[in-house]
Amino acid sequence: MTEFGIEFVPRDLYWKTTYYAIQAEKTGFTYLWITDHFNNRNVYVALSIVSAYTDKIKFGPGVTNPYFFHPVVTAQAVASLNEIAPGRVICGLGAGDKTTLKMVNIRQKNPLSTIREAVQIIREVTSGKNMEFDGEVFNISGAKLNFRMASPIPIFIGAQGPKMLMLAGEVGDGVLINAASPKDVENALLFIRKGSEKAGKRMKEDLDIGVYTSFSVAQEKEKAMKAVTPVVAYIVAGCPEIVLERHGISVESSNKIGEAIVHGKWKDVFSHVTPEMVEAFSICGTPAVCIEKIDKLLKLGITQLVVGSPIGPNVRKSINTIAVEIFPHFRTD
Amino acid sequence: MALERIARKVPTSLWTILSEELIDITLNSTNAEKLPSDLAKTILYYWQRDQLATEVGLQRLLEATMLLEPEKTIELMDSLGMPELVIMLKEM
Repeated sequence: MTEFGIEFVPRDLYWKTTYYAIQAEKTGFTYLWITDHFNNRNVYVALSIVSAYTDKIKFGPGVTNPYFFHPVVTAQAVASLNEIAPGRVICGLGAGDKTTLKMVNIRQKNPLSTIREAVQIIREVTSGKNMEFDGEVFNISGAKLNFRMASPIPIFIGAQGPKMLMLAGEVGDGVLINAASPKDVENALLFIRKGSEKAGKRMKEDLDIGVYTSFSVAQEKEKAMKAVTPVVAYIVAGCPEIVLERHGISVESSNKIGEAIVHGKWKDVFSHVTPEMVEAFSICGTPAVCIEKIDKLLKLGITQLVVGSPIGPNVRKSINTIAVEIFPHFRTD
Repeated sequence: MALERIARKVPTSLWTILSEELIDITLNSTNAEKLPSDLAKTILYYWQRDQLATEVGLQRLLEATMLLEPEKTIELMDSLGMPELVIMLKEM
């Protein structure tokens, strides 16, 4: 059965994110992901307060990256959360958002080795091991948490490019495919399968396969479109060339959007994002349109559909719309 | 005390719709950062327990919206047909 997850961006005030988190739990979402960007509120502070106001929903950073935070710090953070909410913590890890990394001149060096090693470090440190590690990227000589963890924390890898998707299939407990179009997801699954086969894992049974979508639902299509445009801009700006090519988008357009974002020129961002980009990189529209798009993705065999930012022009109403008008199409209980 | 009296006078048939409209005003206010943290946490506490659509929940929501968006709050009460409460809010 496919579960539904939801993503929040802690650009919002903490109590708004927490309000929506409570609402997400009440309306039947299984997973809650909070994004991690240095220029928003801290993800673990946001998750801590969410953990205090919820009882069932599983939650975690979605996704953090090992360029800003050393994996032992991520291990410490998720292990601490797990003490507040045992068995509910998940950890999303990715290679980071190019646009945000650029703002502080961090180079996204060796992303595959960095993620592979980070997964191993987080997994071993959270399991309580005293870790010695001599990797290509990280070097650790005796790292051990001074507290115990009750249960292991599943690590989901956010991926988009072929090599990262393969790696995610190989070393992740789950994959978060950054995509919204069936074409991209179908393609991604091929690479994830290669990776999981390499590790002797079965797709779905041994590996959660999530699709992390930019989502916007409203009763009026135009309102949904307006809300999703800035998010699609970030996606296009950080998108691997191969994915841009698949959708007939030039690298030049992507670069223009990236530059406009970095310089805060939002009018330019809106003018550069085309309806085709919105179609390729989001699930956006009326409930009926969203149902149709979700249905196509679920038929590909995914285990989690993440309703990502912006969710809709009015987040509270959009969450209710999802619960009342969309969930019943995919749930028999 | 005034808000407690006002919340008590809201007909029960309007509790749900009023609480939803008030929470929308709160969540979407451009003054949202002015909401005191203790009031925000109280609202979250009632929301977690499904108690926003109660007298005490409405009282807290009215406290929030009168702080952030007094004019919108009064317009809302007017549109829901509660003229007596509009007068009470204006006199606060």
